[in-house]
Amino acid sequence: MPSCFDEINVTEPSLKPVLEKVSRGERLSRNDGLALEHSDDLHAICGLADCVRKRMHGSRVGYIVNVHVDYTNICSSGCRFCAFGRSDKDDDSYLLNSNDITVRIPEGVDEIHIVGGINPDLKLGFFTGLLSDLRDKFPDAVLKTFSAVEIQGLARRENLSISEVLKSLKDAGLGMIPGGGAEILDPEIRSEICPDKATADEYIDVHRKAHELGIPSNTTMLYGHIEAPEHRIDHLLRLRDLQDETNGIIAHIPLPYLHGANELSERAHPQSGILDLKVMAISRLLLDNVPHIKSYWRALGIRMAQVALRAGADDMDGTIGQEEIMHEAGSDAPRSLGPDHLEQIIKDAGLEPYRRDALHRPIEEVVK
Amino acid sequence: MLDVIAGKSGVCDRLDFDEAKYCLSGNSDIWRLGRLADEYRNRLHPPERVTYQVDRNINYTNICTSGCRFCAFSRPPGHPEGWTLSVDELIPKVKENLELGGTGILLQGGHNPDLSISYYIDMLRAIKARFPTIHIHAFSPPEIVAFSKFFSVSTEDVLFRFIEAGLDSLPGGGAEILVEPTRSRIAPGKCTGEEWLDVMRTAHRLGLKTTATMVIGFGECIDERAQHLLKLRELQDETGGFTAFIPWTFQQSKTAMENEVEPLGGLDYLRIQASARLILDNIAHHQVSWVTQGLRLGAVALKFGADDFSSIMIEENVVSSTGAGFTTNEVEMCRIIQASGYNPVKRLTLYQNILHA
Repeated sequence: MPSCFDEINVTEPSLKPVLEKVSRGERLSRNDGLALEHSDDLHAICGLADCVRKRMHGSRVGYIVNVHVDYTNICSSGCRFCAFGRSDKDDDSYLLNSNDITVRIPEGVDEIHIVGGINPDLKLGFFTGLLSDLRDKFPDAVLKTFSAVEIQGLARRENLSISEVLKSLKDAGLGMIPGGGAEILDPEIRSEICPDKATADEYIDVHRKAHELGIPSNTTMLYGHIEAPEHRIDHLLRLRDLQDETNGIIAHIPLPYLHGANELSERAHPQSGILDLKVMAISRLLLDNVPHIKSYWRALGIRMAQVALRAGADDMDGTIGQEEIMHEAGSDAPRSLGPDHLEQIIKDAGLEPYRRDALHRPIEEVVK
Repeated sequence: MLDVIAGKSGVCDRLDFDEAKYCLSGNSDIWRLGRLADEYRNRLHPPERVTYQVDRNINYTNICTSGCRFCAFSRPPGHPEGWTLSVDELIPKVKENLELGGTGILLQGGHNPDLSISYYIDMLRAIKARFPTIHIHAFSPPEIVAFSKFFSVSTEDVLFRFIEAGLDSLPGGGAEILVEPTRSRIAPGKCTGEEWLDVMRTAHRLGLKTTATMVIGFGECIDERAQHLLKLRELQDETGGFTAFIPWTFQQSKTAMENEVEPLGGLDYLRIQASARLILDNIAHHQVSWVTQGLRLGAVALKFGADDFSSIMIEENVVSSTGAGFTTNEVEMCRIIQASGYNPVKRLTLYQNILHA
């Protein structure tokens, strides 16, 4: 019986050692990552990532019944790729209180994903109060809230250490940290696209501290703007190093830069799905110690997200409900998908859907 | 079976019905299938070249007697939202198209029983009189069949009179699924599959080149998809009149079939694009349908057998009435083609300026 890897026909000599390493389960080097980035052999790269996904997860692809709430669009960061952030003086700026947020959350969700801008008026009490209200009202849902950047901003405003803030949040009900705010973990790129945001070191540090306190997290990478292939590879290797150290990353989520109403579009990489699939596949191949790679349909669009399930991803994220950030950035995808629709997309890719919780534990076997 | 298919070289050694079905089914590995289609495309065309066109879709009326259940564009005769463009309204659209670098127009519309044959003849003559260099790619086979019925003349006579008035080529629209039982279920008022093929045969005999299309996702079975492609291949063997093939997936939003069938995903689209390249070994150009699939997936299709990024479509009304239409411009399209690893080459409607390998 030939293995999945034997079926892959590599046309470029530079990829042959990569194929051999991956098929033997060996770790890829920075140079291997760059060889993948510089190759045009999309079929081999994606086929290889598909084999690795199959080796790790069989034919199972997860999805979650969840809801996203973006509690404020008031943000002091001014990131140049963002169409969501506003100043508090803008007419369309908003801040949702705990009550506003709870009424937006439907019964029966398994995960509540809450993120927002770096709003200078918000103190620790806002966040802990929100978490304990949510824990009371939705005891069965995992509270996956506040990206590393928000937590770092809060610690700075309160003059507390990251660990102190994380402990207070955890005591109030925080279950997991979402992956947002990583962008590209390179100081030069950050100085161009998000100069006033938490630094790369700060992002990594919040995740490390969270893992040390037993709070798992997801990670992301925003690609397709002005970064070079080297930046993407170094970003992934930085996450791999952290995972070797802490083992706290549950899922990694590649996020395409969307050419919507924001400043970077003219300089950004054109919107080719070839890059989307390569980044998805390379993420799977390099992040050998991260269990899950997520195909985030809200950013990729439903069609590309399905193709990405054959390029290394083993998860479709969730039903989402109302989501503003990708929507404002110009996403063509609908704001919400039903569980039946998500399952159908996964089945049409020849894979078996299972409903999971925020930590990717199966809720029940929904394979039909 | 992909190993057998990989050993075939096309034309003299072509895919049979079972092999076609295997490609089209979910059992074939998508990356190996894509690789085979990519290799075949690279044998026919310079690997680094991707062609595209600048043209404008002009829809002259949305009034239509067909009542196709998949359509969100048309309105029945007498409907308050029905409209028809006059020749005077058309001319500025053609002028604007030329100013934006367009070399051709795609002219299509509903089957409007209130229009006379002179409406069409006058329209073609007026466009050619004002803009003699513009290529008029107009009237899909279902329109020609409807005109033949409305005006009680043969389809050959309709085509002959249109050619005299300035028609340059026929678009391949209205093929949908050419095969029964799906065709009657989705488009009971439209010309049959055999009529569609007959119009194309006649057009080719009269010296017109045409394109061919296929839409999947109406709940048709794999057999029907394979038969559709084999019927096109057979006619192409006979006439050689098809310049390009364009497949896409049904956009059901805002149509009568919205809740009847599940939307197809990106993998289904890539699979039809790649399978079509391998099965339709005798049609030179295969176009991406970025307007239905989005620019991101459109770029991926270049690795699945397509050699042409279609047109920038300065105006598009039919797909966009489902709410699913994407838009672009020439600069963006060229940047996407380049970022995908190819050289963009602007072509004319019938690839007249493109040398073949």
